[in-house]
Amino acid sequence: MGFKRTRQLKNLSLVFLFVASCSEGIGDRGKIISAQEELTGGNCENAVRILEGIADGSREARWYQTMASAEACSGSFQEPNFFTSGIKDLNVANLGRFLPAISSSSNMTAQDDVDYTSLLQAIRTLKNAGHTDSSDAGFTLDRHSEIWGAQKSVDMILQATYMTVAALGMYMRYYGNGDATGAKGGGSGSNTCYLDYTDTVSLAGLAVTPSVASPCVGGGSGHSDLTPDFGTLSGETLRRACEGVTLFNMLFAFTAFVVTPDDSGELSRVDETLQVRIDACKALVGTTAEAICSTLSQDQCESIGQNNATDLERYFASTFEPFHRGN
Amino acid sequence: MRCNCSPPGNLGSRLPILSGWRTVTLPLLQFLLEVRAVTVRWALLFFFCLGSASAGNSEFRYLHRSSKGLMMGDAYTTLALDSSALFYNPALAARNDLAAIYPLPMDMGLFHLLDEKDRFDNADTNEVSDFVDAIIGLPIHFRAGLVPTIKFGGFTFSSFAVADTHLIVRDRIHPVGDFYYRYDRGFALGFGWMPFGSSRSGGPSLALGASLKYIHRDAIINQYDIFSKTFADLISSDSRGLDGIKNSLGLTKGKGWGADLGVDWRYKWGPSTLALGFSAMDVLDTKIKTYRGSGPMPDQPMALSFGSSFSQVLNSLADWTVSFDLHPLGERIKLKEKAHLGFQMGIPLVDFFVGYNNDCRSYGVAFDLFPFEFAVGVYERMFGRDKKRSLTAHFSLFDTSF
Repeated sequence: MGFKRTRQLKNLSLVFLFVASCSEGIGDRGKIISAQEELTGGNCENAVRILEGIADGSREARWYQTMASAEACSGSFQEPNFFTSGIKDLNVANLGRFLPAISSSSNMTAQDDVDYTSLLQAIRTLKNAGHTDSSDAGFTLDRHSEIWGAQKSVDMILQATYMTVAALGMYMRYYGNGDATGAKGGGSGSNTCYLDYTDTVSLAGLAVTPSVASPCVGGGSGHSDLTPDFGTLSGETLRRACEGVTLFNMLFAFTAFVVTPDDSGELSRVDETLQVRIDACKALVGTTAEAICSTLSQDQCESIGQNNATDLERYFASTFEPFHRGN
Repeated sequence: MRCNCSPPGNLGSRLPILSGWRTVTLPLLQFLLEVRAVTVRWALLFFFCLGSASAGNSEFRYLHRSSKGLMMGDAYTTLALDSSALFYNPALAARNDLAAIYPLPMDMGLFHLLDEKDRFDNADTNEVSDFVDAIIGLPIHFRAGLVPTIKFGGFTFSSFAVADTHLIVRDRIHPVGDFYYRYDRGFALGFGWMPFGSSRSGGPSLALGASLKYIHRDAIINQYDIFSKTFADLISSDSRGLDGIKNSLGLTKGKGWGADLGVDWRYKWGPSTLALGFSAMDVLDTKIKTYRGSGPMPDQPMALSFGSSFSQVLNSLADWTVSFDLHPLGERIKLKEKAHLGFQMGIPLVDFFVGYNNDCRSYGVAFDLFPFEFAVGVYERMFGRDKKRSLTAHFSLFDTSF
């Protein structure tokens, strides 16, 4: 009897010790909250490390949103600043001059500036969220919506849109040699255009619009980071050119995706402004390479542009050059 | 300081740090998504009146906590012989006086706003970035409870209305608001039985107790991207006033029945009393069944608590108590987070409290000036890596026992 009581007491104390000192554990949601706390303190690498601890199969929309935040964190992008000093005085009527004039646009001082590359990575994370193929060539926003549901998908793409605006502003300021007011060719560099144009259709397109003579026709010069091997189009130059293509296309596609039919605000006007340039692109490029005017995929763009300068010249001649000039 | 969620102008005039919001413009929300500024202000003020998380939504949430208990490091399982008995251990009902009534016992808690004053001193609260910078990582918390209670013999009946609200904004790159709002109404009926011994005589005594409770719960639990279309749509869709905003944010209603069990053992000799207790509150979780809304509805989780205390009446002018609790048992948290230590010293009309839990201190003072009793104190809690202070207060009127 005494032995039985001793054993019962022993068992009871073991149970008590167990419930009193269960080892600490933290679920996936707790890890995401921890990562968000790291991002609150600006500890980008810690946040990435925590998020990478969540298995592929358990990654929900919030994981991708937080991971995109953590990736953008290594640059200087922050949404609150972006709204206050970035797009506070959005000028849709002259969007092409406005984007490179955003204060954060001057942060890109080299083609691989972390302020810029961190945004590219974050945008890719949000855009390709849940997409399992190694290539994102076949990816569409409709598929994104199917995976995450319409509402969550819009929130994720809107988050990507902010980053795209910031990244496109940097791209245009750097490669378009914009000055503080956004004016193309007015910056500290020597180029007046994005590319050196040799394609006659592109040159004709540049000359047609607008009434002001284009500096890119006859004597204009492209940015040195986009021109060295542009004739053969491969490697780094192709990658950089396609970054611009996908950023421009993404801004158009993202705003169209986010805007609903009853929206009549500035966002819908941004979409209308970009639509003009996309239509011009399709007209200049023609049906055979029309995909370049809508692709959101870096891989697909590089595939189209590989050893083929013509389509990319026509793309830039119909989008970036007139858009940045204020048309 | 009371946060009553009055209209923006009024609240702003009383809380200087918020006054800038009268002219705040949220550029994106206003001109990109066409959200009316007034609804944004309403929403942000509402969230400001919600209150802290971090441990946030993963923190263990008791149905109700006594302010005096919090001042003692929440080591109160064997000491809750007042109106809060049925929220700590139903076996304490066996130790009732012949009869007692607590018509208006109120408890409140609020994050220590003055501790965070520096955040706002250098911020231009007219600028969104400055305001978000100021509030990011700031655990905002507000709780209030009213627990009218009647005791008669071994029976205790408490009705309750308890609100527990939390807000924290995290992530400077893409700010995300973690919202937790819970408002419970209901009642609990407890019965305590003493199979041997007596509260009044010396020697050992053992009490067993059980209670049945009904909870009607309103809840909003979600994470929102602050600069998102979902959030903008939520707060702009015909939201008017606090109720409108709560509905827009996904207010969910539910109700459920639960049960509590407890045991309390005491040994009394001379002026000293040793007490040990164990309670299982909301046995197997009190399931809250949603009947309106589609948002998350939290069940009331089972809380297993072990409590102990030693009390001594020094003379007719002074007494003291030291207590040690372990709770919530069974949760996957560190042992030091479960260990609660409290101390109380009483002299006529005044009680002093100090406590310690998880590297956090607490302290307070209570005055018993019949027909009023009030207590104020401060307790610290860990939020992520940060230790934050909260204010807590208790007020009751016409507490009477026979």
